[in-house]
Amino acid sequence: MPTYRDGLKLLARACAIGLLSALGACGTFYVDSNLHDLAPSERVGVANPKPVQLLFDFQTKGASNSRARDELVAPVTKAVQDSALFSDVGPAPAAGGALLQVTVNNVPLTDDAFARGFAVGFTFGLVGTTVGDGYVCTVDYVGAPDAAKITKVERDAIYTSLGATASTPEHATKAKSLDEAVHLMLHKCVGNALNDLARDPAFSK
Amino acid sequence: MTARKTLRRLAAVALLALASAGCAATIGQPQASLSGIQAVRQQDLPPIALGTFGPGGSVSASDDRATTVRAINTLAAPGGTFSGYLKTTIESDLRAAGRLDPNAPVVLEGLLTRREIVSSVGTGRAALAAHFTLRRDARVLLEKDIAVDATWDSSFLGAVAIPDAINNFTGLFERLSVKLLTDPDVKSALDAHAR
Repeated sequence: MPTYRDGLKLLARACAIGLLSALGACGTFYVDSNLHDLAPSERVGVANPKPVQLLFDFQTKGASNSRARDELVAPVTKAVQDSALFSDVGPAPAAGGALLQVTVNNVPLTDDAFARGFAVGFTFGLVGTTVGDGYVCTVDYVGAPDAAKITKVERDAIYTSLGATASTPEHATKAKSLDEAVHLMLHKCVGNALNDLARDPAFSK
Repeated sequence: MTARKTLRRLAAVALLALASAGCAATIGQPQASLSGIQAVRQQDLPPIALGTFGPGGSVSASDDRATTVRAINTLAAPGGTFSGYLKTTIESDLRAAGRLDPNAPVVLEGLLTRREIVSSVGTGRAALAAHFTLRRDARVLLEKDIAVDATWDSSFLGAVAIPDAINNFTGLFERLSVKLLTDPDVKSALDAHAR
């Protein structure tokens, strides 16, 4: 049975989330640095890039968040273009029928984050007034109508500190704004997942 | 300070957060999915035109325009009606799969017969149902009711529960569209028409 202490923890976490949603740009934002933004020299090259139809979905706890998706489709498209794996990237059907679905799922970071695949160096839960948000980035690629689907997954995190006494996350890069943090997280996540995709022998077939 | 007092203060902060979040919510544009496109490809559907979509069954015209979430938050249908949003969602899936043709002889029409959001503390649930009619000229090829629903953990706090409810509800439009376009009866009716 939940105790008052359990109730307080839940309510405090929910308050922080609610306040962040309500106040938007308040707080200090950090992007976890375990996953880095790829330099051009680190990117896998392809000999004959093909056009691809890009589909993007942003989810919150597994449910599609259509407003966030509309806001973030542009930076995701840019991240896919920056990978240089495709000759053309757009929402319309591509010649050859190649499909690329990018799904970014925003999940709350809790004490079982490690077990869920987040390689991060931070104590989760509500530590002082710092909260963590996990992002699971999945890319699904189908090279042709009759081709098998290839799936690659990367994970990243954004931390938000509220107030002067908030703890500073370890292994994280400070961002100037929430907007910058989200754009950096997307560029890293999508870029690394696409690099994994390009390394897969089935990608070039 | 006792735990009870702290809890009260935090609850007040939460209510403030909810109030700051405003009382009107909106939905973004529909987006096709890879699974939906692949399913349409596997069905090998012919080009389809979309006809009239509107409210039907127990869904009134005002139900079709907006709903409330947690009593005080109004969710207005994007584009004016939820039935129109369903049409736009199906349109998006067909277009992405290369199967949308406004001049196609096969026309799909729909009546939104159920739209429901319940975001009570504990478990939230949403449901969507529609009556679809597939025609070629005046001839009805198929009439079918299709429904989808969802349940999720619903927070005590409206600031958390309301966006969760909206996301789960709007996700049902894409699920209903994919369920329709991959329905074996749709495929059978179109195959019979082709013979």
